[in-house]
Amino acid sequence: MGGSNITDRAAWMSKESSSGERQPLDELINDGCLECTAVVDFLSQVFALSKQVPVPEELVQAAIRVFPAAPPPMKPSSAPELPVLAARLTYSSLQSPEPEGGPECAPGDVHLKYETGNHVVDMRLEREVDSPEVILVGHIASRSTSKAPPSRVPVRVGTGARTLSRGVTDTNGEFSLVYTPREDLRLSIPIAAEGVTVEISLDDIPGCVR
Amino acid sequence: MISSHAATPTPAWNDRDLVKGCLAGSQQAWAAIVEKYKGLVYSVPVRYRMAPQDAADIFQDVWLDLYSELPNLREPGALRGWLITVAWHKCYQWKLRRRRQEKSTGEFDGEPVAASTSFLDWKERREQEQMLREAVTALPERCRQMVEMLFFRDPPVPYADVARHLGLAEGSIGFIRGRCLKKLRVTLEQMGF
Repeated sequence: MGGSNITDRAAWMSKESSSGERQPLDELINDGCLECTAVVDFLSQVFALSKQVPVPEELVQAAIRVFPAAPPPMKPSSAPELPVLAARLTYSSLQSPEPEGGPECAPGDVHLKYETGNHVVDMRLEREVDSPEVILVGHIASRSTSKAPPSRVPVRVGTGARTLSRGVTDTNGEFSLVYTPREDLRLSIPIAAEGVTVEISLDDIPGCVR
Repeated sequence: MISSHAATPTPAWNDRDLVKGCLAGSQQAWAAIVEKYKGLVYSVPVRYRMAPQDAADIFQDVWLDLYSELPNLREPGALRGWLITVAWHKCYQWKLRRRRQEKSTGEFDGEPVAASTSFLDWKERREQEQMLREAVTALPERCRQMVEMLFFRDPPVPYADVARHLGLAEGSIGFIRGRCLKKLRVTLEQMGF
């Protein structure tokens, strides 16, 4: 049997070969046959993917209905600039213990809290060991407990006019961004309904190493 | 260029053209994006072992975000990565909320899926899976049906049924399956798999 015969490998992967038929392939793989390993890896992925749960059709139809007859709203760049409220740091896990009742911070995460005007922004930063990228998971809320958090609001990390990462808050005011740190970075959250942009300087935040 | 395609947008169109179609108001382009990426988006909450209702919420939320963000996509060609990242973020938030709730009631039942995996590795894996989905979709019809019946159904369809469905001799299934898998592999290599 040829070492790279994908038909045999498919049978091998799908366990329909007898143990006698499987033995030569097992031996080839154990001997470090690179091509055999590549084929088996490939077939493993085909089989792994095949085990995934199919998407319910009603969900697909609901997703298709998200798109209305009209095209999506055009770029917010045409929207008027909103006055900027610079938020101030009120808590950093690098400097003090977690506030009571706050979410637990896993070792290596940096947890930061900012406040400005009517808003509180809670952020966690993580940095992968082998990557320059930082994962920012945030939550913006109103100081007033009776007021809903800003939802479906654009969130952006950038420097000057250049955007490095952007997203949108969900219905709980939560958002996540991935970006590569550099100088003069700012997190901007323009809240059109309230006529302000909440802005946070991301300079001098080290992120964390997991 | 949109003009280089068939008139009606399909999942085979590239992402840049599909996004352009959406921005021009084409519901068919949007439906094609949903069709192309539904498996990818749904696979993320499934990997987080979410209950079907939670997975459905995440799935729907990702499409709402995409709709809002379509005009702002800096690189429409990177839509695949954008969808993976957004779906992951939503699941991550869900995981944090769940952990807080369950810790407060003492019911937290273990670490979330992929807690120890680097996000970038995880994302790369999901991108590869999506390439595999797209490569299967791009196979000639008979090959696509065969690969789906043999590998993507649980339990797999018996050879006799595959042969009957495709009008082939049962004894030739193994050979044709091998040829189809080879085509799949070549397609994937062309996609940079």
